[in-house]
Amino acid sequence: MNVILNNIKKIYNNQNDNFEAIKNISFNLLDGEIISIVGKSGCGKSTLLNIISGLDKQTRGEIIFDNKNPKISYMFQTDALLPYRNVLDNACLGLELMNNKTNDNIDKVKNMLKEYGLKDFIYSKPNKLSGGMKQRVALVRSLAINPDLLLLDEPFSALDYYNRIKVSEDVFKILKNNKVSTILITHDIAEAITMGDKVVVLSSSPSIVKNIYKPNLDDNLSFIDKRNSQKFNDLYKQIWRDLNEK
Amino acid sequence: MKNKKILIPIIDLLIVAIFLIIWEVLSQAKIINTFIFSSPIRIYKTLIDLLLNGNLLMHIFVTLKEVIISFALGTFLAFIISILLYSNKLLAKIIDPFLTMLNSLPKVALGPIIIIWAGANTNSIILMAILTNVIISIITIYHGFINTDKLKIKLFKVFKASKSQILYKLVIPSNISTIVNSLKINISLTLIGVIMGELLVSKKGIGYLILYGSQVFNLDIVMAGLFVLIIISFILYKLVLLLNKKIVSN
Ligand SMILES: Nc1ncnc2c1ncn2[C@@H]1O[C@H](COP(=O)(O)OP(=O)(O)O)[C@@H](O)[C@H]1O
Ligand SMILES: [Mg+2]
Repeated sequence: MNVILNNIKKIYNNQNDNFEAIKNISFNLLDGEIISIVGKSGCGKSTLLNIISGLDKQTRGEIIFDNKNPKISYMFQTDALLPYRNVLDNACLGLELMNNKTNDNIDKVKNMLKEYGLKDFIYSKPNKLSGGMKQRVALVRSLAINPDLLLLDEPFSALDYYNRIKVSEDVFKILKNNKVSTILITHDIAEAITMGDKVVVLSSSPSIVKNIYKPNLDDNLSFIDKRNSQKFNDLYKQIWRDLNEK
Repeated sequence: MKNKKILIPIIDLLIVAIFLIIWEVLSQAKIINTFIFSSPIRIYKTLIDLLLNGNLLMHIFVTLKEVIISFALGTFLAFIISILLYSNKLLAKIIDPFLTMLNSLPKVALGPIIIIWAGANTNSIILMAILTNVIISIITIYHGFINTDKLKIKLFKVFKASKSQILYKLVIPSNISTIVNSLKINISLTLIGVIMGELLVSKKGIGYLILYGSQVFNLDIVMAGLFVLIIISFILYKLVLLLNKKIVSN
């Protein structure tokens, strides 16, 4: 699904003062594309995703979706799995809430779980899983509804360095194979470059778009090879400078 | 570690035994007045006598019945009211100061009013007990509800969940352990409420037995009643703990 953000502004109205979190953000997401958004913490990234997902309302500007009623999935820094449900029932949550938990769909979810290395844990409770596995269940839960748009809010931040690269690479492949339109938020420049077809760099709060880059790295390269390429290094330095500019 | 687990209850039992022995010895030696303090053997004899000739089992049964009814009703009410408060933020805001006020009010002060409303009968006792247990249960459960993980609520909302889906598939199941934990406080408070009620109005039950004993100045009966009460509250508490463990481990 194509998404267009036009001059989004967000001012939080509290009792005594108004806080401007986002000054002006515009960009386009093309169908099947992954957009990374980098910015310092507190610059309004989560706010932006809340607005895109419809949980919050922008103060000004518009968001245009191709579909009238887009199906949106959200993945967070923590897995947000329900401890009282097994892996399969967690993964089927979205289908269930949207009254779409058909036998066909359950089978699809089971296959996805098997494909993503969770074969032996389908009927386990989440507390039996490692951090990386839990995030994969959360991903399956997000993909199960066949979303028009996937929103990822720092989904790998809670993982250790090794798993972070590993899981993000797995997720990248899955998203590309399924051509999922995705907006990924991160404060990790390397993650933004390796995952994104475009990288949107935000200024500090109240945020505006500083720059939009296209890394153009070879999708077939492993993340480690991507991280060792010249293009990656140049872009990394450029974004680092953008983020530290006054 | 394992040794400690066995050792501690043994030490506890020893302490009780030593206490009883000293009590008995002092009574036999007439150092303490058994008319006021009774004595373990006299309590034992009184218990046997009450069992055989004094309807002790009936009194126990009456108190247990009142406890179970008040406990079940109080828990049920607290659960329903918590759901109502959770589903209606405005109602919650309106009710909140009353809850705080009622919570700090000593419920025994309501006794006379309750008797006028409900009559000097079992209803009053149950009402008393429910008033004693329900407020804190509501506060505990409701607070559990409103502290449900915000991120998970967000997740449900993004999946376009309805309010009732959020309640039944997230808020309630996430708070099972809060609810079960509140049962532990609830059972103790229920017993307090029931005994207060029995002291005020009843003609049956352990509270009545204690009151009766004191009125006829028979401290043996008072102490025997207290003894039964201790046993009952211990067993009830252990039962709730057992239930707690069963549910939480599931
Ligand atoms: N509901 C709110 N009311 C007022 N201020 C908020 C609210 N939510 C977030 N903020 C503020 O908006 C700014 C951006 O927050 P957020 O979008 O969470 O940042 P990021 O995700 O980039 O770290 C922060 O300064 C935060 O304190
Ligand atoms: Mg954030």
